Amino acid sequence: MQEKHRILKCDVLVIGSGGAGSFAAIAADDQGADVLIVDRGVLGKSGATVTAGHTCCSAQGPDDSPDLHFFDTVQGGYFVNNQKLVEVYTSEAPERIRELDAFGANFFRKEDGEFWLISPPGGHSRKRSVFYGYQTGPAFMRGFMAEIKRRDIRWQDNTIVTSLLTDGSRAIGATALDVQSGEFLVLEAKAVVLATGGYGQLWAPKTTTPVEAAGDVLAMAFDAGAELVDMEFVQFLPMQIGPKVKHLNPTIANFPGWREEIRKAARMVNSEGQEILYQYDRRGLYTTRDVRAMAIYNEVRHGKRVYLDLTQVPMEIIEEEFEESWPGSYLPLLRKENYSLTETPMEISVGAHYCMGGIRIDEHCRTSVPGLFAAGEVTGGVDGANRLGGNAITEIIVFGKRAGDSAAQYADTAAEARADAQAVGSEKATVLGLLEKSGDVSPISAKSKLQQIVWDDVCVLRTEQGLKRALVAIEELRGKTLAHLGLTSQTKAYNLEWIQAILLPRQLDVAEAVARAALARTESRGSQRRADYPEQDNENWVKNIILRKENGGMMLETHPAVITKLDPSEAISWKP
Amino acid sequence: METVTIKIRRHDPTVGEAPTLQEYTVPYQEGMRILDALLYIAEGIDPSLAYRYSCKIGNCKVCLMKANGKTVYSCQERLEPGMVLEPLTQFEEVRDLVCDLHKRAEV
Repeated sequence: MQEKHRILKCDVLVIGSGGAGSFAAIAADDQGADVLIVDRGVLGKSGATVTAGHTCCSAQGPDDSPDLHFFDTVQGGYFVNNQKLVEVYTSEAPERIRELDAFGANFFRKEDGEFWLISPPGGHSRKRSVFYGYQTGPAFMRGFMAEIKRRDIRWQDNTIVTSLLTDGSRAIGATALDVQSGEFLVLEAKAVVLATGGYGQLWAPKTTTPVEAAGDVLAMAFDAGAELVDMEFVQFLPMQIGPKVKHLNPTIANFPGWREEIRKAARMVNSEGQEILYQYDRRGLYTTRDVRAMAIYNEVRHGKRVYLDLTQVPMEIIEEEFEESWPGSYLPLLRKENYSLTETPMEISVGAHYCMGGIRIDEHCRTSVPGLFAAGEVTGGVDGANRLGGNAITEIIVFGKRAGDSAAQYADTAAEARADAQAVGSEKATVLGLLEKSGDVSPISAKSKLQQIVWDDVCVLRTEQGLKRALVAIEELRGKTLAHLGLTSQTKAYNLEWIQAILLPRQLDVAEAVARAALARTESRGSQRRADYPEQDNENWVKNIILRKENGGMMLETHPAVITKLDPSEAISWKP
Repeated sequence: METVTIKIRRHDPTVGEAPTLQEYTVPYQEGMRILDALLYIAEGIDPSLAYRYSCKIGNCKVCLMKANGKTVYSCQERLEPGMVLEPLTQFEEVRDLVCDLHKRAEV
């Protein structure tokens, strides 16, 4: 018989402890709920929030308003954002930022005591970003951790969730594995909040996302009956890969402001010295970042290297630009590390940065499964086809709070959760059984294969042929690996092979969801670029693609985008 | 192809065996970090190696370890030939290079 396992009970189970999860936990605690936070990494140091550099937007300035922020966000998302969600986001963002500041984030202020606001990267019509040097993410997490500690909220980290538990009609918790001890856990909850981030690791190592963004939780939610939306929209950014400079964030390749003197003298070239942007856009470096990403991708996938060459730009101008656009920024760091941007060209590549798609929610962060809520990058809908820089970090706290509020209210009247012993037993047998697998396929190399498939054919530039090839390859990988996994070590202590064996089937499902949605959208819009459908098709595609599990398969349907205030036909005439 | 040989302290406290220093040889690239070598080892040579990382940009601090006795971020520190990698000593060990960052080691 199976050995006994530990059961942890709570009112609200929050899975993920980055910005969204932390705010959800604090909000639910505020409502008097008994909260348990679970995270697969180390509490306070896990997830994408901590990686944030500068930008964190909200309409705070005297010349700004939530309406302006709304229009910028919907325009930037190419009109397929869920406008109800964008309204919530832009109107609640200023207050959430002030709350987080008070928790202990301590954003930079001007001499008059007001927030010091800087310009976020392209697409925002106002200065609306608070910041804490180039360490805004760590400041965020310091604020959250101080508040979580103050409230003495319970947590259990180093713990991956392996499945969501339902009682047939609602979510009642999850099964989990403590990856340090190998202990199997059952988490019983009256309501569950998913705040586990995106699926950017599918493109690893070409990604700026943290290792926790494996995407498996999206497949888990899908399996439990939640819908996925906008899965095809994945944002890629130019990222710095060389020279290796300590503590330099790879997003520096999205150079601050790109003021004219810099853009005139800077060039993006391949290893053969050829300029690579003009063939796509006569504006060269003035082009949008999706075009830059595509140009870089096309070189890199053909084995060439790409450089951002600033050697013809006077250093004073770069320094001026940094001081003005990114105060407290990388300059001291670059000087300390003895790296001059104007002496050695910066080698760049392209990396998955943010997933606009995810679990479908309404404005109360409800999924289609009662008792199951979601917030942050794990959800889809706020950003449409493209996210503006500086929106992610604020979005996750706006919806994190809403998810925590909703979950606590739901839990207040929900019946006690009791996990079904049979479901738990079968999941436990599966998880522990993986440890004994002795086939000839390493789960870690199988994951690398999946990442290669996705990089080759479900990446920056997509085609019907490539996407179909990817779907076949994913199916093949599923068939060839899942039954033949083998681990070289049977230890229960931080066994990365075991962890990957648990994640792998879910990651295959998520990759399939992205490929299916990308194949169905026969147009190019924002981050979805189809070589075979290069035009944006407003006639047919101001729509969202929704995926739902039906009869064991992936059912795909399209819904018109949710429009409340800004109709796409107004886009051309509207100016902030 | 240029290669680098490093040594990593291997120990599983759940098994009653003494720690060992295991040698690994990995392809070397200019500017390579310690974490690049660990990823290479786990994917290509020895998937049983336990190590921890998250953000890869030096923000999260969970990849801290000792390289030649000095405390470093493995995602930021350059790999050097002959390097000896060990877990932090101030925290309880979990396995290989991984510690429980919430539990101070008993002295």
